[in-house]
Order: sequence, then C-alpha cells, then structure tokens
Amino acid sequence: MIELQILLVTAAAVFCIGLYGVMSRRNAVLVLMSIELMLNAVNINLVAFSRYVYSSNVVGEILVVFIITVAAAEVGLAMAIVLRLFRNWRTINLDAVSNMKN
Amino acid sequence: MNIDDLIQISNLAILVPLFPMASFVVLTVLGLYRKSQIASSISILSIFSSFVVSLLLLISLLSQGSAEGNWTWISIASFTFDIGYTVDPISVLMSLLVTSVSLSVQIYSISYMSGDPRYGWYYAAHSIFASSMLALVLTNSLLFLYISWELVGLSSFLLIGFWYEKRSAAEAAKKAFITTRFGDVGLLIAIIMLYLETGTFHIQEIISNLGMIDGSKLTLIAFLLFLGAMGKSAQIPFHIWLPDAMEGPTPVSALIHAATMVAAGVFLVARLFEIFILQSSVLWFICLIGVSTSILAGFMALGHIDFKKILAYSTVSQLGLMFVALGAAGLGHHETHSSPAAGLFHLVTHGYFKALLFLIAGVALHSIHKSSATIYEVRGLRINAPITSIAMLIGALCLIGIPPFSGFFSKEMILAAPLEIGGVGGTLLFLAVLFSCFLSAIYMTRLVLVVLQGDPLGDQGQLSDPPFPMMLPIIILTGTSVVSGLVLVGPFNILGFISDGLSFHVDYILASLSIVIGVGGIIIGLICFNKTDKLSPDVVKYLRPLNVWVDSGFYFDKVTNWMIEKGTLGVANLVALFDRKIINDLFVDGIGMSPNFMGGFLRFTQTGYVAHYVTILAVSVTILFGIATLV
Repeated sequence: MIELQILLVTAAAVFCIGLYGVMSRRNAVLVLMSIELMLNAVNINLVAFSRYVYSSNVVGEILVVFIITVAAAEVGLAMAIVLRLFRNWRTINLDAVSNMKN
Repeated sequence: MNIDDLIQISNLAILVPLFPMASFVVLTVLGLYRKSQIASSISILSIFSSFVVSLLLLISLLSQGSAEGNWTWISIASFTFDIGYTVDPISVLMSLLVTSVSLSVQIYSISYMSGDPRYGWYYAAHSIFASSMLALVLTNSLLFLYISWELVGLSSFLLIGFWYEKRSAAEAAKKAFITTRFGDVGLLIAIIMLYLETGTFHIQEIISNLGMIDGSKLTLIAFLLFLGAMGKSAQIPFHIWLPDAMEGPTPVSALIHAATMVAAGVFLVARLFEIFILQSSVLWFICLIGVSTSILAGFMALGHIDFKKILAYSTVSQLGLMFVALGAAGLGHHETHSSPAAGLFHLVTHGYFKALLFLIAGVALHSIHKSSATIYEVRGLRINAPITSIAMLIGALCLIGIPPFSGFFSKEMILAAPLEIGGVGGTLLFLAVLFSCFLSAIYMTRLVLVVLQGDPLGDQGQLSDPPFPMMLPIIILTGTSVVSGLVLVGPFNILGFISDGLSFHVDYILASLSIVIGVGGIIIGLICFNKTDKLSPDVVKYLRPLNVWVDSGFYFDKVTNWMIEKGTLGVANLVALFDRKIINDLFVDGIGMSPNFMGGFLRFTQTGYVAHYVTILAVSVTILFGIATLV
C-alpha cells in the first residue's frame, strides 16, 4: 500500500508542477510541455490504480496507451499552431496574441 | 319576396337614393365631372327623378298606407344584416323636402357656380349628398341609417371645403367634420346598445321590443341618441361648426346647412320618438338644450353683421325650437298628443324659407362677386333687385311667423307644445320659446331693413335681380314658403298624417299672442334699425356687456379650444409620455438592452490571457471537487 501512496503523491506533484507551468509560463511551447506533464500525471495515476487496486485486469494500462497516442497527436497539432503563430506574429508569447479581446 | 311584391309601387323607394348615387358614380368613375354641362345635367336629372319618385311614394302612401321592404344584405353565421326601406309619413315628408330643396338648389347653382374650375365636381358632391340624405330618411335599419349619417357628414365636409384653396374653408370643413363626430360617437354607441339589447337593427322591431330593455339603460340610450342629434343639428355646445360652415358656396349653405343635413338630428329624434317618449329626464334635457340654443343663437344672430352668419345663427336658433317642440311633445300629459309632428312641421317650413333666404343671400353675394359679405356691403337691394327683395321680405315674414305665411303655423304649434306640459317648468319653457320668437323677429327685421333699405354703395352697381335659372328656384321656394304652412294645416293635415287621429286646430289666444310677439319684434326692430346702420349711442352703452358676449360667440369657441388644449392635449401628452417612457423605453428597448447590459458586465471576465482562464478553471474545479467530497 505504501507504494500506491508514493505513486499518488508523485502523480499529484507532477500534476501541480504542470498546472503551475500552464498558469505561469507565457511561452506557448512551455505551456504545451506543462500540459504534457499534467497528462503524464494522470497516466501515473491510472497505472498505479490499475496495478494496486484493480489488478485483475489491464484496463488502466490500455487507457494509458490511448492517452499517450492522443497526446502525441495533440502535440503535433499544437506545435503546428505554434508554428503558424510564430510565422504571423514573430512571437510565441501567449499574452501578446490575445487580440480577440476588444 | 314574390312578383306581386316587386310591382308594389312603394318598392320604388329604393330608387330615390339610387338615382343621385348613380349620378355620383357616373360623374366620378367615368370622369364626366370634367365636362361641366354634362355633369350638371346628369345631376339635376337624377334629383328630379328622385323628386318624381317621392311624389309617387306620397300617392302610394295615401292610397295604400305605410309599407316597407327588406332584403338580406350580409349573412354571416347566425347574424343577418338587412337592408330595406320604409315608406311612412315621416320618411315621405322628409324625402319630398330633401328632393325639392335639392332640385331648387341644383338649378340655382347652374349659374351661381358657372365658371368655377371644379363645377362638375360640385355637382358630383351634391349628388352623393342627396343620395346619402335620402338613404338616411328612407331606410328602416339603424345600421344603414348610421352609414348614411356618416356619408352625409362626409359630403358636407366635401362641400364646406369646396374652395379648399382658401385656408379658412379647409379649416371650417375640418371643424364641422370633427365637431359632428363627437355626437356621432354617442349615436354609434346607442345603436350598438340597442342591437345588443334587442338583437336587431330594424327600427320598427326595436321600437316594439323596447319593453325588453330596462329603464336606466333606455335612458342612457336615449341620451346618447340625442347626443348624435345635437352634433348634426348644431345644438349647444356643438353649434360652433355651423357658422364656420358658411365658408362653403352659398347654395351649399342653403341646402345642407339650412334645410337638410342639420335637419338630420331632428329627424333622428322624430324617427325614434318612441324611445324618448317615456324618458322624461332626457326629454327635459332636450327641451333645455333646445331652448338655450335657440335664445343664445338668437342673440348671436342679432350681433353679427355677416349676411350668411346671421342666417346661420338663425338656423341654429330655429333648430333649437324644433327640439323644444319634440321634447315638449314627449312630456305632454296627453298620450294622444305625444307626436313629433310639431317639430317636423317646423322642420319642413323652415327648410323652405331658410333655403330661400340663403339663396337670396347668394344672389346678393354673387352679384358683388364675393363668397361672404357684411349686410352693409349689399345695401339697397330693393332698388336694383325688386323681385329678390319681395322674396326676401316674404322669407323674413315666414321666419318671424306672420300669418298666413308658413312659419306662423309651425311656430304656433311649437308654442302650444310647452303649454301641454303644464306646471312651472312648462310655463317657463313657454316664456323662453316666446322670447326666442321675439328675438327672431328683431334680428330678421334688422337684416331686412339693412339689406333692402339705404342707397347701394357706389361700386356695387352690378347688384341686380339674377338671371332666370337663379330666379326660378327663388320663385319656387317663395311659393312653397308661402303655401307650405297653409297646405300642411289645411287640406293636407300634417298632424293627422304623422299621428293618426290628430288634427290641427288654431288656438286663437296662442295665435294672437304669437302675432303680437312677432309684430312687437318687428316694431322694436324698426325703431332700432330704421335708416341707421347702428343702434343709438344710449342703447349701445346699455347693451355693451351683452355685445361683448355676443361678439365672442358666448365664448363657446374659446372654451372648446381651451378644453382641447388643456384637457385633450394634456391627456394625450400623458398617454404619449407613458408610451415613450414605459412601453418604449422599459419594455421594447429594455428587453433589447438587458442582454447588452449583462454582456457588458460579463466581458470583464474575458481578459484574453490564457493564464487567467486556466487559473479560473483550476480553482473552480478544485472548489467543485471539494464540495463534492464534503457532501
């Protein structure tokens, strides 16, 4: 049981770091990386619960594989947007591109 | 309805209003009103045909008695609206009066209006007037009566404002239309109430079902009906439109504002007399309005110097007398005497002699090429226009009520009516009527003296007897003015004609009293106005306060204007304010503005910084989960 708690605390820590990154960074690439951190924290949770609580099946692990796949696709899309952003504005500072306001 | 009914002679009644209507349609739709000669020929021909048919109706009435015809006009679900005519003494009498005066006036207008750019249109308007007035008197349905009533108002509007290029004429037409409309509202409400109570518009059926209506409601209906009559017949306080209506061509004043349209109110009360008969409060109101109108208008006729306005006020005054006769007849103690005959009798005789006087005013005005003039401008009529002068003298004697002219007989019957009531009220009413007759004698004497006497003003040399087409109607009307009284009381007993079993008998005391009053008025008029334009200074000083009142028309116009300005416009402004502030600003704009306002408030949460959104998201998710775990 100790291992489960260590894993959950670790996952929570990673999630918080990711959240902090999303909230504080202005660099679009860094924000993306932070989102990846949060996703990975979720993955850790899933694997941990799958191993220690519902050990009779591998539903958690399979879900993790899905999340990694979707995350990879999402990063590809997001990086493309960031690239277009840079081409148009010569910056990837998210605060600088808030021109939908007003 | 079978073949036998169709060949009934009384069915010709529908032709009476149809002839002038056909003339109107032909003139306007086919554009014939642009061709002067054709227009006047068609119009005169149509009204002449109506006159002939009216005579046939009289024959039919005398030989076969009253008759009526009904056709279904509109039938919707269980409602059917009938259209029909009634041939009875009142309607035949009225249609004879209307057609004969119309015919005279239209013949007269041939030369009076010649050269006018809208000559044909004048005849078209005359035709629609005659048509609607004849439909008004002949119909047996209150609904159709109301339609005709409004058409009469419309055609009167057209004819008063005939010279609409003149601002005063356009204003007068508007004033007449709006003022009479006040009364019309009452009439419409009364008709609707009668329909709701009895379920029919048919006048005879309504009268036979009067028992179904409870007393207070019937009083209200009678009052509202009289309101309509007051508007059309120019009774105080609605009389203000009639003097202004003199802006129209003079023959129009003769036809509409002396003999026919203003008679519609009197006719309405006479036609629905059974509704009024037991409503003593309304009858007293009628008497009161009638007698005060009569006396006040008599004073105003005495004070004015405009030829046509004197005649107009005199008309108002005589209409007041007719209402007194009607009201008093209803109040009379003898059931058998409750007949509208006296009022109708005066309506007929007055229709003839007042039309005559107006046509004579037209002769004077026509020869000096003016549409209105003071009586001093047309002095000396006796020298240049002797025949017209004699006609005028006869017209005046009719109005004053000197035997054997027609006015004497009808006025004698009006004087007899208040005495039938008895009591203090009846006596006072009788004295007031007597005073009004006295006033009419004075103002007619003044009018005749000023116009006939004196030397013609230098530049009015063309004042002369008119050409034959204008002279003929004057001669005809003089004839009818002289004989209508004698014929209607003598061989053709009007009292028995309208109410069976009554006959005219001269009350010698009353008759001599009436003559004394008339002659007294003439003598006083002769003393005051003989050879002088104005009263002697002493008398003027004595009459000063009265004169101020008369000059201002007893302030009726001022009070009306004040009421419109303060009352109507005040209420209108309040309503407008409510509309602008509450309806428009609060409801219409308010509903539109509320999303706008909320959006303006919410847009402050949209900072455009991703970090802020994420923070809000994270914090709110945390709070939600926190709540979820605690619960």
